Amino acid sequence: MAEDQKIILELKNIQKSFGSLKALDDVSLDLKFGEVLGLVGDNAAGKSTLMKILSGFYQADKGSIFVEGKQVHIDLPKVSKRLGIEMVYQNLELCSNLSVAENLFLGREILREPFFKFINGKEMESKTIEILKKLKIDISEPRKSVDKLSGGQQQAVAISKAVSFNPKMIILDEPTANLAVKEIGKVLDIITRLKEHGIPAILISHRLEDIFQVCDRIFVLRGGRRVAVHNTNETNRDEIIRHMFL
Amino acid sequence: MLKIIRKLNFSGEIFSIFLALIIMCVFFSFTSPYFFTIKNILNVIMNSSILGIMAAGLFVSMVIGEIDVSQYSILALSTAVMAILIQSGTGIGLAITISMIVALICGAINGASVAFLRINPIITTLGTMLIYRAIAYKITEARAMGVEGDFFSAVGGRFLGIPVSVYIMLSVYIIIYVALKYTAYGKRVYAVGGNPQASFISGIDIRMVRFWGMMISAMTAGLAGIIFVSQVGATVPTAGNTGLMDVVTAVILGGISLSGGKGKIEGTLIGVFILAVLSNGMVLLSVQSYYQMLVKGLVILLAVYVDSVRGGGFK
Repeated sequence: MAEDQKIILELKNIQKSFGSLKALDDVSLDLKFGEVLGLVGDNAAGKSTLMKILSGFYQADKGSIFVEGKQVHIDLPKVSKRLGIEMVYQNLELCSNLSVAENLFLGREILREPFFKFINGKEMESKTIEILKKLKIDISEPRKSVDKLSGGQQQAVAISKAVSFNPKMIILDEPTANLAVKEIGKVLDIITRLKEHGIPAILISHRLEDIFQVCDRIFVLRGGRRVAVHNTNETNRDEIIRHMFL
Repeated sequence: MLKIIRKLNFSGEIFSIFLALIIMCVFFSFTSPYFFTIKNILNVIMNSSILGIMAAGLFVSMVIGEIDVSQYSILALSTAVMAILIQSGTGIGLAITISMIVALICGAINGASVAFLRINPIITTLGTMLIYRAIAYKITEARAMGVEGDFFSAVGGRFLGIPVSVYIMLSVYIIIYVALKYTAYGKRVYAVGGNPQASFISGIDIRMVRFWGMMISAMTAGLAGIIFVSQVGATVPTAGNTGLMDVVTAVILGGISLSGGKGKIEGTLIGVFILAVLSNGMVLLSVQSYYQMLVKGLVILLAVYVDSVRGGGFK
């Protein structure tokens, strides 16, 4: 990875307290074009708080956020979405009773005409196939109901949904939690493919093996503080664990 | 066999409900000589049209994860207003329009309580059920009020040998079927019922979806009221008092998931017919009325049990 890569997202000196508890203390983070950044830390290290600030669920007490060099104020989740930041949540924000295509286009269905809002099912299905193919996801039937898919496939649909918004970046919160080992590999493959398509991502995970497999850089939080940032090929598991706990 | 069923585009659930209906029809055909006559069949269908129209609206609100037990009270109140207006010399067209507006106001009160104040829909509609019914009693002074007019004779009559109310009921089902299946609104109804949080994050205004669910339920109650007045030739503030749970029963029999998000409107129509055939058959067999209640109660329990086995149930 070249050092002069352009920075797409920059968080500067973020502080956030809940009452007397300092959840984040002067945390700065940057995400570069075309990279996957791993965000690790013990429970309560501030990973979720940091990402919630980025997605507009919380607001920072101090500090600033820059997207493509421009300062932004993310005070609502929809502002974050408008800036091209897509979240893939840990607890799968899918409607399991709807089909794959219906989930991908939920809330922004492709319409045949605007008054009665008749949907164009064919177009939604072919666009879905397009996105699934782009990410090499092995779901051939976009009409299949999501509750008939495996956990890994569901996670793949969730990531496809994020990708379908043409985001500038994707934040993945524990995407491999609760998955069978065989399926974890598939989800990690999809994350690697995001990189091929030029979509930078932040991966939050408890599983260091996942982080080492797909991330270019690793960012370690401990007790609400940034303790280290390493290029993946210049560090190892032991060093990261030392940063996290010792 | 399974392939044939799939080719017929029957989902397994719809097929089993349909089978139950057929079995009941066969049973009553053998036990009563009057059951399988054209006159009786038309009678069953006509009698089910009021229930059927309301069930279609209730179905929508139940897919969203709500419920509405105030429909019969809305029917009583909106028809009471209609009857009073007509008796005091208001034109039929205006009276009907105002009665529908009354139904929509009732729906808006239910909808606002459920969607914006977040009061549990069962509690909300149990409350408004009493309130609307009380107002109906008050304004009619607890009397039956006759309603006459060419329009009502036409709606209460027949066209090509089939009761007009049946055409109206089928139109309601077709409209709701198409709306749920082919429009963005329909998809949102299922989405909010299936996972409100995911729907919210996807940018759906879940409060408006919930609000309109209760509005549609009330709208069908208002429409059913027009049919009621046409068939009975009068309105009574006690309308539907004995069949309070019939609409809910029909929808549950139709295979809806009580936790929301799943169900087919075709199933509800079959559920309506099952209930109508059951009532009619028991009357033909001279089953005493308290046994009829007992059987209906057992049928509700059975339907809910089947739902919980399928993984619906309440959470």
